[in-house]
Amino acid sequence: MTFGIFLALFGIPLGILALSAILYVTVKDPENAAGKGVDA
Amino acid sequence: MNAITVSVIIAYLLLLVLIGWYSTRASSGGVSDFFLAGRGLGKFTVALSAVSSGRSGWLVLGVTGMAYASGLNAVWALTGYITVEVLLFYFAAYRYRRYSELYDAITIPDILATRFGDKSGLLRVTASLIIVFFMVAYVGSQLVAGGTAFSSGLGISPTAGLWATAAIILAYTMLGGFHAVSKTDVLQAIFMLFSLVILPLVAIINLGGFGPIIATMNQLGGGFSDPFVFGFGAIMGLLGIGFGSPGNPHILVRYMSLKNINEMKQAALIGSIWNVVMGWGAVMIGLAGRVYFPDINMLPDGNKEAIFPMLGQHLTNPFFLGIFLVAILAAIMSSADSQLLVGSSALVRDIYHRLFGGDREIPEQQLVLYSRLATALLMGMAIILALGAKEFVFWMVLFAWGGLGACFGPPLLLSLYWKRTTRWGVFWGMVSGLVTVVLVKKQPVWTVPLLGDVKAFFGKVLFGITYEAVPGFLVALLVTVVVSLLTQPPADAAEKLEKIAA
Repeated sequence: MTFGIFLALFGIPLGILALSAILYVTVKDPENAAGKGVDA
Repeated sequence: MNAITVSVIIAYLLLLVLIGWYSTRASSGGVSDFFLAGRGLGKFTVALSAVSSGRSGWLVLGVTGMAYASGLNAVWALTGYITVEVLLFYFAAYRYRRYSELYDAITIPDILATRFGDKSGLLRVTASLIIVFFMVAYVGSQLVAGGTAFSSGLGISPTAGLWATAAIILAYTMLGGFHAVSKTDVLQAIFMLFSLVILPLVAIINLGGFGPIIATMNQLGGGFSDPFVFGFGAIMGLLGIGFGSPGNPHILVRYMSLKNINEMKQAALIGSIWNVVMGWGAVMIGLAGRVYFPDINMLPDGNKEAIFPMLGQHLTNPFFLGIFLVAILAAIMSSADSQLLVGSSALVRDIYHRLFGGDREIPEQQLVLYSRLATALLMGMAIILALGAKEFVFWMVLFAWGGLGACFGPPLLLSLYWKRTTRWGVFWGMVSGLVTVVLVKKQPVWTVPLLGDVKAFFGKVLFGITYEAVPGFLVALLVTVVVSLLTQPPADAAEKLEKIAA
């Protein structure tokens, strides 16, 4: 498998999923950001 | 056609109508119920509905065909819009949802009109006309595609298939409004996901592993083994499909329908996974299909977009073939129903109620009735277009996705994020986005001596990118910013943005 095939079939989709996972962890719920602590 | 395959398709269609009938009561309370499910939907429904309504037959037929015919460039077509939709879901979706509730905005023109206190109706009318214009053409094209899918699935004529597609969509959309459309979207998303995962898996297992697919790709070479073989402009153009996502109202209103805003992150995660799995499933079908059908002439009429049903027919039994054909119908219907409803909301909520209604109190039940009638009216227009002006419909749809992205994307994002945005900025942003997309896509000959070759100009300026959504989006962005800086923003802009960001 060439680098190009690996990147296109696995690298990019896994990269997008990783981005989504990072945002899931780092993005704060708006209420929390305002200090209302909905999930706290 | 096998009786089992036909039974699966008919069972699916009956299920759709049943969902519509079941949702009738829930959607009859008022326009908020009919057009936004009373902002009462769960995270799964919103996630799956937002993704599946945005993916028409283009994903299951177009992307699979693109991967079959030219290999890995299909990946670039997915990467742009999925990445943009991840970002929209994690960031802008909060603001849409919050704005919708705080300012009783049910539609996209509602957001623009209330954000700028536009009592003249300028923004509402402009946005509504653009929506109705594109949505009728969009629905018309989905009807044509549905007719083709029905004719191959049930062996009826494409015209009879078109009428069947229209009748089924109209039945459940009229009865159940947004409730039915979003619930059927979930069902349709499940069929699409199942097919886009199962079929490539069956294909790979049947080949004894992934090896033969890689071997074929290496043997074919070019775009099959190297995704960078396509030029910079072509790759960026395919990534530019993502510029459509921030401006397609049938996707954006999904964010506004979530019941609990604190579930937006979960919805975003579910939607992102769904989007990636469906996209790469479609690519894998095309690539695996190339092993089974090495010569395009092995497909009916040499049509690359027939690879999905052909591979299903080749590899599975009549029951699963029925499921795969349902997935094609599902992709078509999940887009058409959402587009129909958005067009209808522009007619009833924006033009009839808000523009001509004035201060008059109109009973909610009456508005729901008019909404159902408007849904039927728009479907009638879409049928007439689909039957009588196919060329026009296809011409329109070629730039509907990018056109809506360019018209609404920059004005909406700036309205939700930049307090300096003004009514005139948004108006000229929408107009300039629309004009640019039309000129780049199909410039009228009489404008060439006046403006020169617009497509060639943008191709030069944007390093070879000629997909119309990219210049359309950038021009609309620039015009909205410049005109906004030259005009006066509303006095309560900062307060509104603070509230929706809180």
